[in-house]
Amino acid sequence: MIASRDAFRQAASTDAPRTPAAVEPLLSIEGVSKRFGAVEVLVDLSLTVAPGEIFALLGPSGCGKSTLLRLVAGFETPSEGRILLDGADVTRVAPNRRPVNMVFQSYAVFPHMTVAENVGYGLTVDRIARDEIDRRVEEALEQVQLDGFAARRPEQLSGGQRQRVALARALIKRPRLLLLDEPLSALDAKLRDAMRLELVKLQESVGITFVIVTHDQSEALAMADRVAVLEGGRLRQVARPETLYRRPADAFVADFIGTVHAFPVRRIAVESDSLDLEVERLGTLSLPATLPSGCLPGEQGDDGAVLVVRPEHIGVATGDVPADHVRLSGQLGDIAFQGDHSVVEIALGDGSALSAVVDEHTTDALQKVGAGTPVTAHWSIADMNLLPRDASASRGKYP
Amino acid sequence: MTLPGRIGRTAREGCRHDDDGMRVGVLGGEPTLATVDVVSRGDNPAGPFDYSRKWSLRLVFLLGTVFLYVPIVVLIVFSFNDSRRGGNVIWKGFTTKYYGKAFGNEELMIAFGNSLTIAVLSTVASVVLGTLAAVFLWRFRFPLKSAVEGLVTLPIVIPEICMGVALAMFFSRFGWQGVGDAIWPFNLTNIVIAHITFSFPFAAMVIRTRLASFNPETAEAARDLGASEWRAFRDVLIPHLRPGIVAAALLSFTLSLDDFVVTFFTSGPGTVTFPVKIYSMVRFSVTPEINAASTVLILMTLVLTFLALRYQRIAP
Repeated sequence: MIASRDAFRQAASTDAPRTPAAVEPLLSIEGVSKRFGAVEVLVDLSLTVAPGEIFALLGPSGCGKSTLLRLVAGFETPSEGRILLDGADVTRVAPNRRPVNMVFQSYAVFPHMTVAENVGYGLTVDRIARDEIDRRVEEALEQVQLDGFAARRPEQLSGGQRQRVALARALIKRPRLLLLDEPLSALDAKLRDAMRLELVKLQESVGITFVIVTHDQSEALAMADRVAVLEGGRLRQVARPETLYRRPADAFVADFIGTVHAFPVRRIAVESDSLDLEVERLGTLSLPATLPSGCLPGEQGDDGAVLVVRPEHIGVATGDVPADHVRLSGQLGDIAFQGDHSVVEIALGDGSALSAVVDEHTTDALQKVGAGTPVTAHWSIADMNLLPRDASASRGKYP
Repeated sequence: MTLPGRIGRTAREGCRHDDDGMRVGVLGGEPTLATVDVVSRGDNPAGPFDYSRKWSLRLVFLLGTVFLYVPIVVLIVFSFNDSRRGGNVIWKGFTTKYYGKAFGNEELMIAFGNSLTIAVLSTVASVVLGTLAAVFLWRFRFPLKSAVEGLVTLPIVIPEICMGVALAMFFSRFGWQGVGDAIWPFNLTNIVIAHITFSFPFAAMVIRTRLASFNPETAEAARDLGASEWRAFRDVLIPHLRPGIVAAALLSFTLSLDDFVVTFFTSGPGTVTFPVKIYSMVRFSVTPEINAASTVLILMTLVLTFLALRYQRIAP
């Protein structure tokens, strides 16, 4: 039993940031909890952010990610725990004294000042010489592609332009950490894609560590070096985007990033080199010991785990299916054509349905046979993840 | 009678305007009323007369206006009346000499000076207190907050006569009644305090309205960029509040200048204000001098209110 547990532990990936482990983390959040009256918004949260990376805080509305950002910025104080910046305890330091700057969701550009005055505000407060301010403001505006906008007023700017003013205003102070609260949510779709690229390029050229809060998983996956998934005030998983997608730590993360089909596991028997599972609708399956999984066997008992698979990994066949694949028989249902791929619905015997994402070639074949034809949904067991149903068993907490 | 199917054609055939400026469609030579014309279109906002062609509604509006404004118009007109005796009710001829008399009346001018002094002092204090109260209530959450809010609004609600009596009792209790012997402007302290008491809730109310449109993230952004709490207040909040502060100041000034009831109870022989002086003059005899003084007061109030409204409209 112990040997098997070790085997599973070894197979698990550790999600260290791209920078070498020897580097001191820039931001360290230790055991932070936040309560507003009787409401617990953040519960015992710990994570680190390495210098120079883009770190995303991802989660549904109300998960506490914005509160966490405000704690780092200094607008709230944690009920418990510490926040360290460059090793120094800043938990109770006022926001104007922290080497941290924030771009707010509403941009919060000062309406009664010109663009130049806005961008230079942080330097004015620091009592920097007038000509130095002017020089640096010009530099900052160039950096965000707003050169020539110095004399404009905020009401003359578009949303995207205002955001760039807010960015320039924050970056001009050369903070150790830049916080961005939902930077792309107020922009229209096309501008969003353009801005996403711009932000990544900007971060690369400036080298400042970014922490971005977002509820949009595709945004987080596309932009960030590492993503922390939060839910209900708790940290579910911190990992690289690829890891979050392929090896989610629990059922919530699996379903929040993309979509999954979940099959409850009735019983788990630990063998010397595999896990024998009794799974609803799929029967008995054997998970090889070398496969990493989100939960360790025996720790959550029967009925405490689910086996998940993504529609993208499900194939739909009318005839033969590879012998080692998991399979389910059903009837071909609706085919939603999406161009380079289609979402196919397969009606299962017990009344439920499975969706599969298939390529053009398969779409053609399926469209020829028509709805109602018996088909087999199949996928490799390696594409499946064994995950705890309940969050407390998740091993998603990382130092 | 309207023929819905024909409205488009009516418009194309052309239409003319009737006396009320309403578009009347012309259909085959017969004037018809296109129902769409009753609502406002484009540059012509619907005025009171556009809502109905019913004479009864127009009559009600006219009577109301007359009832409200004719006495005031009469007052102003009769300030030019050349009549010394028998009350100022029969028109005897046009003259501006009573304006001269009013400006030459020393007691009246002192009262006017007092009124202005009190108004300025009261306004400054009311605006400062009102702004502080408004920002305090907007920004902080604390136990008994609704009680404090109630207290701030109370002077607006209390009948002026109750307030006057209460203040008079208060000042006599604390021995300030004799301040009438003190030098100007300290002899006006009682009145200024009284005016501040009923003015600052109005100022607070005006500023609270302006605060509602303030994005708190702007103040946070200032702090985030290195500003202290006070600096953020000064650089971000005050500029946003400026239209509200100006409106509050004009409102407080007008309230103070015009006030009678509370001032009557808190003023003494040496501390008469303009409205109180006019009242005491009326008790002697009604001469056009009083009308003249009143007209000046009305004009001042009008100008200030007009400025307040204009400023509020042009401000973002």
